[in-house]
Amino acid sequence: MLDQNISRRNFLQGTAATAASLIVGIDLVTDKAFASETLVMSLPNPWLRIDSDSITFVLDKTEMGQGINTALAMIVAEELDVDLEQLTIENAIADRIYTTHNDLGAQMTGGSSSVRNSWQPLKKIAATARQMLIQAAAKEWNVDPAECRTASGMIYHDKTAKKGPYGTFAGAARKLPVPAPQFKDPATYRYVAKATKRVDGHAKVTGQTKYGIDTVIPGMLSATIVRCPVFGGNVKSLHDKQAKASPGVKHIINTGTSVAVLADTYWQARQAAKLLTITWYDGELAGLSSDKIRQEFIELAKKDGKVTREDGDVKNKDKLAVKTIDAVYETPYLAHATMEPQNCVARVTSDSCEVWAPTQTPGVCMEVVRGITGLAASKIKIHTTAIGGGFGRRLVADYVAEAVTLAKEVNVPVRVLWSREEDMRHDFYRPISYNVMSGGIDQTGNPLFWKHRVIGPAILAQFLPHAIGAMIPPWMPPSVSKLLGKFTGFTFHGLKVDDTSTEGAKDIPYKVPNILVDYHYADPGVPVGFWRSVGHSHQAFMVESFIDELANLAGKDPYIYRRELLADQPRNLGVLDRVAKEINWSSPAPKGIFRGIAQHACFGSFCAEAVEASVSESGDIKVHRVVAAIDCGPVVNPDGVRAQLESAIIFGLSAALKGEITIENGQVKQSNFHDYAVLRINETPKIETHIIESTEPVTGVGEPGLPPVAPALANALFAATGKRLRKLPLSLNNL
Amino acid sequence: MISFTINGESKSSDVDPETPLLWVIRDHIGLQGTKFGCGMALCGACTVHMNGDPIRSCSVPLSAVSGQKITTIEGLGKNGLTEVQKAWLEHGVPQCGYCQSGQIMSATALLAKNPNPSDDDIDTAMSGNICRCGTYPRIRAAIHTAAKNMKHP
Ligand code: FES
Ligand code: FES
Repeated sequence: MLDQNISRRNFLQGTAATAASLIVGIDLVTDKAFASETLVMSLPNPWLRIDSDSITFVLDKTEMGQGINTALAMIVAEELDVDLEQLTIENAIADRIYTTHNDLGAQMTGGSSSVRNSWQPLKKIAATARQMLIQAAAKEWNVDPAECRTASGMIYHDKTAKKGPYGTFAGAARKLPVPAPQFKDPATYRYVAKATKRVDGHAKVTGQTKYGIDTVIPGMLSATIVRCPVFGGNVKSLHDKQAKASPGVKHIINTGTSVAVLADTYWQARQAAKLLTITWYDGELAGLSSDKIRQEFIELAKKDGKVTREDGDVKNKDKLAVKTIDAVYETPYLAHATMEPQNCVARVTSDSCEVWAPTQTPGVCMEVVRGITGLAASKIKIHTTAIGGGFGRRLVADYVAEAVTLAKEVNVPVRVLWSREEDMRHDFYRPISYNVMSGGIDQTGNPLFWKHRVIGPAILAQFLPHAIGAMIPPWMPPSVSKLLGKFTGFTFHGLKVDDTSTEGAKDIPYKVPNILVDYHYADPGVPVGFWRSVGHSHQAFMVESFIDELANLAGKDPYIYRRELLADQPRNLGVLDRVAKEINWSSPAPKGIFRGIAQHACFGSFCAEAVEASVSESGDIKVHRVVAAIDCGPVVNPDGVRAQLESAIIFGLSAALKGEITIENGQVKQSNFHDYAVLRINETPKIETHIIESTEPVTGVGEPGLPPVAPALANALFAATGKRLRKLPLSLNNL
Repeated sequence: MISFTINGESKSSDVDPETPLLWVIRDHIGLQGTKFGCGMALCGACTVHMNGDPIRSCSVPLSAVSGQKITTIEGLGKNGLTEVQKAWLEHGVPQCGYCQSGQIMSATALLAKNPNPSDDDIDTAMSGNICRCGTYPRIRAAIHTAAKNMKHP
């Protein structure tokens, strides 16, 4: 346990180099942080830096398209009382300091958690800083601080006509005791709750944003890595004579399970890699196929699983029910396919390591790098670059481990850049899921029982016990995995192994007297990971389709049926009613167009979507319109919320209509966008978004818009054709 | 030695003529606004203009651009933002932004040929550009806005 004052002093001393700057750090946020030993090794890099000529907001979340840079900067600008344009936004390096207001337990961005975690702490940091600046100015001017006001980064004392920019008082403010913050009256907000343009828009329309792939370090080599196509295989023999002689090639490294070609440029490395002759030991998964996985799941489904939700007693209820229905629902493995393929640049010397990574998790990168290099955290610098899409893929630091390992080996900076094919074939996929459901209704048509058995792998089972071992390539020595394994407790404490497999299934909100949800853990060995909205992304499809099946069994309108069963769930009901109203559910759809509806809550937010779709004579599906409503508590940037809803709907439609990773001979069959198609502009429906006014606690929006869209579409297709599609991707051509 | 112009400047390159233009632009000339997404002309992230027409630079060898005029995202709006870029900002199009150089190059080429594109025209011209962040509705709206503003600036 550290003395808090000493810690704070150390912290500020550490930053004395930036003289005259005011740093407001975590001691304002939570005492917990200062009680932690690890803070001692932290660099002085908190959230806000005020220098004589600049105001810097250090962003500890990863901006990957979700607009968190804008939302958090808005909060800071608001309470600091500066113009948004006055803030210089800098990406935080990896530092344990940034775990303090992150309930994910590590410096990472995911789980739609950033605004939820950061709003209050940043508000407090910014308001406190403003207060200290005012006090410093008042002291210098010898006036009453209560008579001072601020605007756009200036302090004014109107009576004496004195004024000055924040920077002038930063040095003096540093020496003042930390006051209690005075918050703005929300009625006077300039930014928060107002649709605000993104802070990075200009850089992104002019091609100036620097992504991971744009990192250039003098003298760096480009690496292409040929991995065993079969998961878990390794190198049997390697002939690299021709490749070695190829132009620009500097090193060829056999890592045991892969072969890395390092050349002056990416293209040279890629050309040389084609000249390698490698034979592989395919390992245990050589015979694995999607068919075999399915057969195994079908067998497992016959036995009882581990119960994850039990209400009432489902036993014999099928005999009491007036009508029953049984169904099997299936969803495939899915790749993330971020637009920017995985990449990382690393420089390793005997006593330092620097990494530039497009990562969602600098905190985990730090542990990975420590494990590989054996260096102390103070000798390691992890820079988070701009990111060309995350969606959960970049919560895994495998590509960081690759770059660091190679850079350490060859003693020059190395950039690892994956091709699209490598990216698609060596992802950490959304888990496959096989679901057996049965339900029955009573005389009134209300559900009497609901049984849902989930079979599939568990992300955390791969992620937790072998932990970071699962986040680094299999060719890492086991000692490294073991060493890193001990950090997982801190990374994901509090989550149970199967939580992500049945989330969305075990928390169905409908009033059903007898519910049984159980789960079979079955991991075929294909790497799995977090994929935008995680378990909810598939379980909402099962649950929201099956409730539609029960409505149909009861002969009731699927919206009204849901409504009645959600009578005790005001927020689910709120979003459901809103989309029904906005799509005009009670009047008939335009001719030839059919409607479906679904709602789902996840990550604390509530979202409903209604879809209008049509089916051609040949069975082609066209989505015309999606109407969405979200309740995510108070909103920082309404335009950001709308953009995330649009984004999640389109991402979800890609999965609903197209996405499927299949396994054959232990390897992924798909390789690029021709055989792993994603939604394109010509397939994109009209999207309308609605935000529910809410005073509930603030929650996130990156993921909750995704889960309802697949079932809403499947329900519309049922309305159109009378055919119940229980498998993703949805198709009417191969029934 | 292969010579061409890029954003109005003459360049000569002696790298392997089979090297895709994308990597010449990014790694040799050092203009990084043009992105790598698929390497197979499937995603449009690498879109640049050759004599005003959109091409997928990942799939065009350096040898094919000899004597041609290449324009990249850096070569647009030399005197401030173009109407397309301004419309992109007005509609808040970019999310991660990684696909947006390619989107903007495709949209710019479309509007140069067709000052008044219909939704179908937009679909045809833009369906080669993938956006995993799903900015398509805003891209569509921004192209209409840009078309309008180019006529009545
Ligand atoms: S990188 Fe050229 S089209 Fe995808
Ligand atoms: S903005 Fe991210 S891929 Fe288009």
